[in-house]
Amino acid sequence: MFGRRSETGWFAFFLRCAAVMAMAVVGLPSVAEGQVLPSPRQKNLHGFVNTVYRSRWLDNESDRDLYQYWDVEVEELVPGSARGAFSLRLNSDLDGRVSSAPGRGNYVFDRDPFYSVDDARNDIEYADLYTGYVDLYNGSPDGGFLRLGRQYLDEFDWIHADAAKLELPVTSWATLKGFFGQAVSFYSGHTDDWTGGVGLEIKPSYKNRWWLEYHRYEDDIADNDSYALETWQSPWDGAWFHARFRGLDDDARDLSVNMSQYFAPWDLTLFLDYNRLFTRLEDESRQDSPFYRTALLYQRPNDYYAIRFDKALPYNLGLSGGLGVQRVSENDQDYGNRDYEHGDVTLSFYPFPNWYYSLSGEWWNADPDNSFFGYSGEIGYRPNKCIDWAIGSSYGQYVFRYEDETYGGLFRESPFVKTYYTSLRWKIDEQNQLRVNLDFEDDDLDNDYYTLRLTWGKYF
Amino acid sequence: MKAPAFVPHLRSIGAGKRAARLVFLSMPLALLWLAGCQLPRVVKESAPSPSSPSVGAGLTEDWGGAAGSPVKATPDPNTPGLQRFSHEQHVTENELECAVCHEIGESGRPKMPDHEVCSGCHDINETEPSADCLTCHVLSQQQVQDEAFADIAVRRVPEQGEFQFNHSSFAGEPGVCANCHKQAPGSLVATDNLRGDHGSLFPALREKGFDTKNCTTCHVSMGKNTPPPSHSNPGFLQHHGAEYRTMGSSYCMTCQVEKQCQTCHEQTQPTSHLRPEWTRSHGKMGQVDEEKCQMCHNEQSCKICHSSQMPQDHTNFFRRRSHGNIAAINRDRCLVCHKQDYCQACHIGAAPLMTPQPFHVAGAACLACHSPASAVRPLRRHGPLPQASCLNCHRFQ
Repeated sequence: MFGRRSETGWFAFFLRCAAVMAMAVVGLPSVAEGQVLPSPRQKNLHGFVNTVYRSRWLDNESDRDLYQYWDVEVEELVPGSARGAFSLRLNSDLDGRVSSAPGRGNYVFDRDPFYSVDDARNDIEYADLYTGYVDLYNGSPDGGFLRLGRQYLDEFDWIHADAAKLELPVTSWATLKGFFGQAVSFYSGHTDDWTGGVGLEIKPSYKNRWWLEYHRYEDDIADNDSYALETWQSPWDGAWFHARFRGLDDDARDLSVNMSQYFAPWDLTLFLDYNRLFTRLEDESRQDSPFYRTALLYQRPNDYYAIRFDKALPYNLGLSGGLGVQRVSENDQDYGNRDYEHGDVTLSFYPFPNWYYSLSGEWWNADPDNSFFGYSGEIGYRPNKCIDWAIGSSYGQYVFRYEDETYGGLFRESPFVKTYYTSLRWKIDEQNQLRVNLDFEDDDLDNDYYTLRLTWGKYF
Repeated sequence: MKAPAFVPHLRSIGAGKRAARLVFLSMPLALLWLAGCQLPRVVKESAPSPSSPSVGAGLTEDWGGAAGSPVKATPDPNTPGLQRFSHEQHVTENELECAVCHEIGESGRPKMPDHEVCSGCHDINETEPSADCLTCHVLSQQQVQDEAFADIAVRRVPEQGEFQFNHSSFAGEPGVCANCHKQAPGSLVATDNLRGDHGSLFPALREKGFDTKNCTTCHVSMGKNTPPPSHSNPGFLQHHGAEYRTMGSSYCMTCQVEKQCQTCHEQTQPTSHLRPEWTRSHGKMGQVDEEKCQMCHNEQSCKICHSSQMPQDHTNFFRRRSHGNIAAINRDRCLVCHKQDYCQACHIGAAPLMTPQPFHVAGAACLACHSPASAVRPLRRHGPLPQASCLNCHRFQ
């Protein structure tokens, strides 16, 4: 029904009708002050519609688009038997700006200064269907359900698929999950690509959870088997531990270990992360399947270590930040395989109840001779819980290196980028919200660039 | 087509394969450990650590249930100070009715048997305590060695405690007690904490016409405006969320309704949410304990912002120039929102920029240097070369 591109007249009609309908809904009586709304789960139909108008200017050119995000859940499609949900994005190019840039799948941004994957252009309307499924069950979904349709399989590597997934509680603390379907890439099914798998979730308590899974992916380049063992543990108060081990075909793929601890006496939260990539991810691995093809970012084994903290200080100050280091086993200085260090810190200050200030710094150093150093400041004002206004600026110094292997030439550029922004969020009532974002950007390579985003959120 | 490979080849060498083998060989052990040690009952009955005195402790004490389980665990019958009494032998094996020992008094409260009741079957000499007393009364090892039988303290249940339920409606109904006092028939101790939990009590009470919404049916000093004493414990405000998760929502909902949660939580956010950096750090917190977020938020809560609001650093420069470098060194961040196919959508036909060489000009003979046989990097992984000009894809800087 929804393909990658639906250039039909009826669709434009539908898009604009939907916008008008949503506008009409805002005229309905709003929630009285102090009245507590039922939670989403208490309503049979709930969701939101975000309508975004975006306008951009660069030199004498401009681009105006309209986007609408729908996310709808129906708790009882058929009472006791079925529920359903869908989410999609409607895209409309308002100004009919004709770009020489072809559609997705082509690298042409220099021909269109506003080009991006998600940009609506060439006077067309189309839809991206993220999810659309129904859950079938007997009595209550708590007793297990079968999900049919387009869905994200978050338990299985977030595979996006047109699939059937079964969730079946086998005991009060264990759930069996299985799926089979066709992978989706950029909102279209991949013909001849099939994927399926099974998993077991064991959850004796909210402090103790395990996940074991196996899934297989078949496409026209390679067939890959993936398996994973994952656990979440809270061994004592304030502590969380997460570990995930994944295998790919006959090899160990990666290990990820994350820990956090909240120290109440100091109001301090510490995070420790360690990731290890055991195997190369490139051709003939899943990384290079049509679904995951990223040949330009093939990876060699590496280790990554990081520490982060979040600390409350006296005098209404707060401090957060972290350090991260990656070490690659074979640092060939290629694009995705370099040693690097990273650090960031944010200091926030609340001198008055409704005002806040924050200063941030961020630094990257990638071997060899690629770096970024940025700093930013923001002032925020929240007179009440309905209004949130912020103004800020950020400055970034990039250093890029380009190398010509044949002649050994080394080319280096270091653009300085300044961005100024302001945003206003106005929560009109429990069902409506307006957001305005205005960005102004100045860098050494392009002329001044402006972006205006008007977002209206309607919740129901 | 390769066969599924849960277990790596045993011939494999290297750290990765060794790790794979280790993990998957240890999986059965992990499962055994899970099955044997991590079933819900054990986890929930564990005593709170000293560092977390308020999590569940107050509720356990005052509501007659262990943290996470509304039914308190039966104490060890060899605990000094307790009285051994095999309900199993008396009730199950000898088929004695509960009322033989626990006669329901005029107040509707079942009596606790004293020596007079026990003397109906057993010889008891209160005036000269002896080792015979140890049949029921438990002394410490030292007291037994010292034959300090006079130390025996008879522990009596107070006539009027926190509970005041009138059992008269159940008088004369054989076998009905176990409907609520589920642990009693198998208990090996004489204790007053064999009460049932709300889940097992309420159906039986409703059947008899009791108003289970009225707390004072059972609790002397508890009601809609008089919360359990646990709610006054220091730190309850800070920890009640954890208690809610430990005890289960239905337990809190005995008295609370969802509206009461919302009354505070829709007006009062956790202090962490009010910090400016929360916008940046909440993803990390969500990764650590996703379910904590889900106490107030659902999946749609994330999507409301994240479906249409890009990160602040996704500027024009980022879009046109720097996102590749950022993705190269920190792709996990990209994968929070984008699948890999997002890169592919542009870059499947993408071509690197030409380096700013003087000979990289229109009309240059590209393949003179960049032949497929050369070692020049762009061609190492280059697919079939297009028939048309290289400039169809590559561009000058």
